[in-house]
Amino acid sequence: METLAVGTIVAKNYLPFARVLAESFRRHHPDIPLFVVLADEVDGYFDPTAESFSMLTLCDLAIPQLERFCFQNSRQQLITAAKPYLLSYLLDQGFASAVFLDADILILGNLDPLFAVVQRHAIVLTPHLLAPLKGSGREARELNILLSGTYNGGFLGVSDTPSSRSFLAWWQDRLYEHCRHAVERGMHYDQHWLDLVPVYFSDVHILRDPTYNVAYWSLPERNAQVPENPSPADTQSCRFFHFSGFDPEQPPAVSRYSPRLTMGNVGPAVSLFDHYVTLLGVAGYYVTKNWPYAYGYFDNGVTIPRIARQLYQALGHAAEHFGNPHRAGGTGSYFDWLNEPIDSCPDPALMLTQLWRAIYEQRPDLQVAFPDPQGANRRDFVEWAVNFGVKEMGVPGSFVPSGWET
Amino acid sequence: MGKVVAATVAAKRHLSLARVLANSFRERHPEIPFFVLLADEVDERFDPSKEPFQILHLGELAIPDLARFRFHYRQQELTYAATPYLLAHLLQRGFTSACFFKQESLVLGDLSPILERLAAHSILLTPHLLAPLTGDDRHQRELNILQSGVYNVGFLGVTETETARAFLGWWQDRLYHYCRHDVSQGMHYEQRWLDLVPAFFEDVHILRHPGFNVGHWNLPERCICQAGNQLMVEDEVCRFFRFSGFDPDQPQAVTRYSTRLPMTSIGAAATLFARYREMLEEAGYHETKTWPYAYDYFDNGVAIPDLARELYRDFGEAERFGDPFQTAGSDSYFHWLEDASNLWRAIYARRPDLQKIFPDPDGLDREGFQAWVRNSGAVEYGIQPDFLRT
Repeated sequence: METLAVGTIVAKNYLPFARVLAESFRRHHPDIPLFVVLADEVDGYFDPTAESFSMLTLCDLAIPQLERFCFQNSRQQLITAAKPYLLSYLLDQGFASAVFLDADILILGNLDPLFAVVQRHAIVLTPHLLAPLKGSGREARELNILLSGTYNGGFLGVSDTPSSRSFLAWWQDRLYEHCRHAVERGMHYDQHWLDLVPVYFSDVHILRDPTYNVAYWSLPERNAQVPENPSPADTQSCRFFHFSGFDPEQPPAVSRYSPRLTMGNVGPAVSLFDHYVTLLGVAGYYVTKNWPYAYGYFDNGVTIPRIARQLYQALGHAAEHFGNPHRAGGTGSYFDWLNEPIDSCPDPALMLTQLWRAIYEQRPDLQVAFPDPQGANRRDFVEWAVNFGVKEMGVPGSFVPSGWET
Repeated sequence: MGKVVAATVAAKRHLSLARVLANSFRERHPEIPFFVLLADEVDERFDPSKEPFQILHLGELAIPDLARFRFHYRQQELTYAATPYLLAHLLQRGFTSACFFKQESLVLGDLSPILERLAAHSILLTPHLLAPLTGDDRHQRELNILQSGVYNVGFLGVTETETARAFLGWWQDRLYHYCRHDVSQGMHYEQRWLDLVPAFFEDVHILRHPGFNVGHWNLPERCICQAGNQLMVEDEVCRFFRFSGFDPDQPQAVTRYSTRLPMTSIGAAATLFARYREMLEEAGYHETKTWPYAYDYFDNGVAIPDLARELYRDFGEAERFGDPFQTAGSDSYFHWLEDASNLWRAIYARRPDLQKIFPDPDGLDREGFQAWVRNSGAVEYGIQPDFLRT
């Protein structure tokens, strides 16, 4: 068998998910290496050498302008946008094939048949749904899939061929700036892009096997495949289950993405969820869940508000002169620039900064309500910002001008 | 290769497009019958027996509760939603393969290689794009495609198999209610649904041929040149061209869907647009474009507002009205709409903003809400005065 490696990506608050995945994988495939990319910093919270997997950092991957990449993406975006870089890394390391698995996957059976398919094709995708849905609500469920993407981004297999290399390069390029959740614009993180893959690249295999990548979106149809007591020898049953959107602390809900499903109506899979909650608990879920995300803060500890990420991305090359965007101290930092006044209004109580201008420019409703924010509507705009804007936009105190009457 | 058939769908105002397409197809494949499904009524505007195609009527197709289906949609949507019913009908008639062409297209070359490919597969789809785009607008253009659908429904083929029938049955079911343009809900008429086809069905062939289904979305990538009397796309003969969004009355623009494409930017393809425009003119474009659409009106001649279609589509028990076009009788849908309180109550229920401004529309806010209906609502929703009787 040609060499094959498996990888996943987590921030450190999700470390137990990676541990559970790695353990369940090792039970079935002790000889296949599993890599975990930490899309975060260790910051002394755990000891990577004591983990049951090989840890990679984002620096190990060939991500251009890494500081920028980490700053402009939120945690969820970063974890998904790093995927094609991880797969390229594994191929670069000399593995003939590489498989990505989402961290919230549990391996329930032997995956050799799956790996054999991956080794035979340049690219392997698993669709969310394998056949038209039946019953009431079928249209709404299928439309949801059309919004988020036909193929699930929780699994992906590639073998080192020119086709898979061009796929990964293309996906990297698209995700660098466009790994967002904006379904009305055609984006659902990394995932909706995959709909173009069977069209763009040769030797793409669409794996229509009900035993892989079972999750809430296919549960009503694939209940029969979910074993109540998973047995490794069973090949008809689900071989890996994807707990997408599952919150171990909200166990009546199966997934935060589907209010339709609860533990009461999910069928035999309920025991699997129970089992998973136990595994996560043992793996330290309650210890890690509040560990901070390193790239969520400026280096002075101030939370990076979403608007600051978006504005940074929009600035493009114009943001390069700030240097590392996470840096708050020193001169010429992005942090300081966000707090710079946009005009020479003498009244500190009415000062407007770059950050607040960006908020204004992002919101058509504010532009209607305050057509002249630097003139006639200035006081009203600041009043809105103080009373509603700070909260609505999640703006930390460090970006609220000190002269404002709060 | 078994018995092949080709077809399109058009309302009669687009008859000239169907004529041009049918003629271009017949020129290359006189042996293959070409059908035009009229998603409309003839209403004595033309003589079907004199057309260069065989005409089909909606009534000949297996569309459940046809009056209802016709009422669900405006002309464009109905034309699109009828596609899977047309293909199923053709297979039912005994043809072994059926290919669908959208009305605003032209056959320019021999289609045999594609028809052979079709004969070997249950379903044949043509993508908008064949390879990753390059250039500064690559992200935006690909995102546009992701919003409208990876596969272009300008050409589609099916071959009589269980899979093809299952596909058509599924597509019919979805389009009966969900053939709308609502990108934020995952809908782009009939087209976006096709993104699921390679996942749902086996034996789906994705045709990656640069000379096929050429249109504004891929023109920038497909270097087109004239070689003798043939149009070439790279090294391939251009066999099938789409004029999606082209308005013969605005001949300087390639398509109304893209502002970045003036006719001067597309090289040799511009002569094809000019030729197409002449063909349309000869085929009666300026006559047919004025012909009314039969399903735009209730049987008393009142124009059907879009909102009336929407409300009807969402109605849980619309059967109780019988034929929704019929206005006579106290059970008619028209009668229900005429009761202003029903119509405006339904509008009110869809509008959180009105609910906020007029929290008690039957009591304290009655005056205010009625004034909104008269002054703004009627205009906003295009409701004719016929509907304002109280």
